Amino acid sequence: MTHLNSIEPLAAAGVRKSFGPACAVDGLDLTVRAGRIAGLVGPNGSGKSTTLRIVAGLLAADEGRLAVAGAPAGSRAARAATGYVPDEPTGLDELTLSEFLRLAAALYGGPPGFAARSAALLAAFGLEERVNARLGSLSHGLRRAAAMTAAFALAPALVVVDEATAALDPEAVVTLRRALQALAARGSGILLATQDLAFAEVVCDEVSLLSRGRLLAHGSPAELRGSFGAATLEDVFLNALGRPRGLDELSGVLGAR
Amino acid sequence: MSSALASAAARCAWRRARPLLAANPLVAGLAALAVATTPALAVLAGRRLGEALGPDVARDENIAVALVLGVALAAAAAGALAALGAPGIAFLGSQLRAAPVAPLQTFVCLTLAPLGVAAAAALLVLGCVLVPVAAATPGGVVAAAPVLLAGLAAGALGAAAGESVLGAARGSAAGAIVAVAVAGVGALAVLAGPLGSAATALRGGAAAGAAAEAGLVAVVAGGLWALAAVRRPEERPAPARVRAVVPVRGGACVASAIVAVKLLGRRRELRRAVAATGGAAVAGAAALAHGLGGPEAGFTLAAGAALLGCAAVPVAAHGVDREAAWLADASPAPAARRAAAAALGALALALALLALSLGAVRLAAPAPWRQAAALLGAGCVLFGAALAAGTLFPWRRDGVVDQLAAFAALGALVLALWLALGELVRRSTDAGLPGVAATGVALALPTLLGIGTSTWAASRRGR
Repeated sequence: MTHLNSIEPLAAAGVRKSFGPACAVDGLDLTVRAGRIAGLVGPNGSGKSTTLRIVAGLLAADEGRLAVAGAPAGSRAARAATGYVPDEPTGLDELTLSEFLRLAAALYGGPPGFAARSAALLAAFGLEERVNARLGSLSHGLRRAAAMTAAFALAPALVVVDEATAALDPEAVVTLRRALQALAARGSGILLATQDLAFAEVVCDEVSLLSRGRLLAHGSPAELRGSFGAATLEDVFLNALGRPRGLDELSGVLGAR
Repeated sequence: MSSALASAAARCAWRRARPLLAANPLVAGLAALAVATTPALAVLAGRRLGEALGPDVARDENIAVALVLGVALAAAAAGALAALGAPGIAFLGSQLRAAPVAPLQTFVCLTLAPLGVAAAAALLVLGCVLVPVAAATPGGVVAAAPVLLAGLAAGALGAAAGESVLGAARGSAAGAIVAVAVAGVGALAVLAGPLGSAATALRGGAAAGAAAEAGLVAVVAGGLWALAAVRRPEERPAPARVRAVVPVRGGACVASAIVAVKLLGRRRELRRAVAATGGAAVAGAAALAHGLGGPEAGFTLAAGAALLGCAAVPVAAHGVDREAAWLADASPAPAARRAAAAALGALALALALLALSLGAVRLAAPAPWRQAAALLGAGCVLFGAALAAGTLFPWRRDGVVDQLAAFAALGALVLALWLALGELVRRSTDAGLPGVAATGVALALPTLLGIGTSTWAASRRGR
């Protein structure tokens, strides 16, 4: 079991979470150090989002220990130290983007520099002209960019991003990459989940490969490529998990007249 | 932080209502009409009720007790419904619900404030009904005050009961402890407290003392509610199940009705509402039947709580249907026919749940079947109006103000329908139409109103 270092942005050991008979996270050990970008990759249902929701304090783990910046996950101190970007930002559709950002700042105690950081992020994500648009009127991609703006502008000890690149256009993906690297350079720890293995390969300092809630492999992208004898992270993924079942029959069934 | 939360909640509520009212002058007109006329209609209804009940209250103590308990039960059911429907921190959405907000702040800003405003409005309307009723009793107008405060106390107790039972069901020890405390306070209130004193006040007893007792219970119940609400555990995610894909015979309309029933039946908040009010109805029926008002009065008064809970199903029908609008609107099936079928499905589900609840209430307070049939008829009127109210103010899981608006519209519609249909039946029977036929028409009209409103809204969607 990993020794918990309380000063890390995230230190987790033996985390387990079940929903009824289904085990979503099974004894996960995870550490995110300050200034590092850690990625969780794995197929759908492998426990990535559940792990992030536990870290963000939205779910309680059944077993295990989790500390965010030294505070137990889910506590107010831990929540205050975490900026969370969900995979599907929902709610508060009637607020304008600027009202939403002001609310986020107020709920997190008005961190110093929030206004300057959010202005820079709005400009970088191309949201400057939409600050008076309602959240409900934004496209899914812009809504995610708005959520990222709110979370990143807090500049918290730990940034948690679910489905990092989902719905983002290529320009926004570049902005996301720069923003994450800048936050890491500032000293934040970053934990992201993604299906975009090329993005993970470029951005992440270390990658954890999950399957059925268990950690299959962990290391830097280069270490993983080396240990699996693969050219890319995508090959690592396929080598570790195998080809999807039913792929060969699919063309026959769908193509049948 | 509190002001930011409260103003965000108020902004969201107003901005949801504003386009609805601006785009639909009919809805805006109806809302304005309801605001303007509901107090007057309530006074009118109170006068009629006073004429009917005043002499009975003077003659029979049980009638006074039953009247107070009827108000208290309805208020308790409404309180439980409102508390269970309050989204709490879920209002903040999938991102900001992870923010470091104190649970008490969330409760005060997102639950207590909007429900407090709604309770004040409901007490105003209830007062308009109760003042003329009390004026016709030996206690006089002042006797309305303890009955009103008893209603407030019962509403707060209902909210505390709903919240604490929800917490206990999710494994919270605090919820279980508060539920036991609520049961104790409730039993004291019924057996030795303000309910009996309020009934005595209607018969000429001291009103000030009875009002003070009820006020004290309201404060205690409010504290218990807050205690349970700040310890509310997160909802457990529903287990994902793979279900077989089965073709439905009968086309899009049958499929729409079946899907409506399944969607409504699987909504946890609706299940909670029906279960909570059904439970309150059975408990109330048992209390009323055993010495307080007699089995028949107990059945009718307690069943009112079950009626209110089952009405949550048609109130929510349009809002739930809208959540899957992207699929329905993209399909080649005519939107209006599909909506009518979904509305019929919701009505059938609500009536089936009501029949089950009435069966359970009848076990606690035996009453003739004709009384149950009469309440099913009342259900037809109520559920038709509920469909219409829920269409005008669509239900949202995370919108406590939307839910309150829908129930307020339901209250106004029911009051107007009660008076209008009563007049219609009276004039029809005076004109020689058989009573059964007149009653049938009176029952069919609200159903048609509900289905017609749903159909109209569906045909306007996407324009």
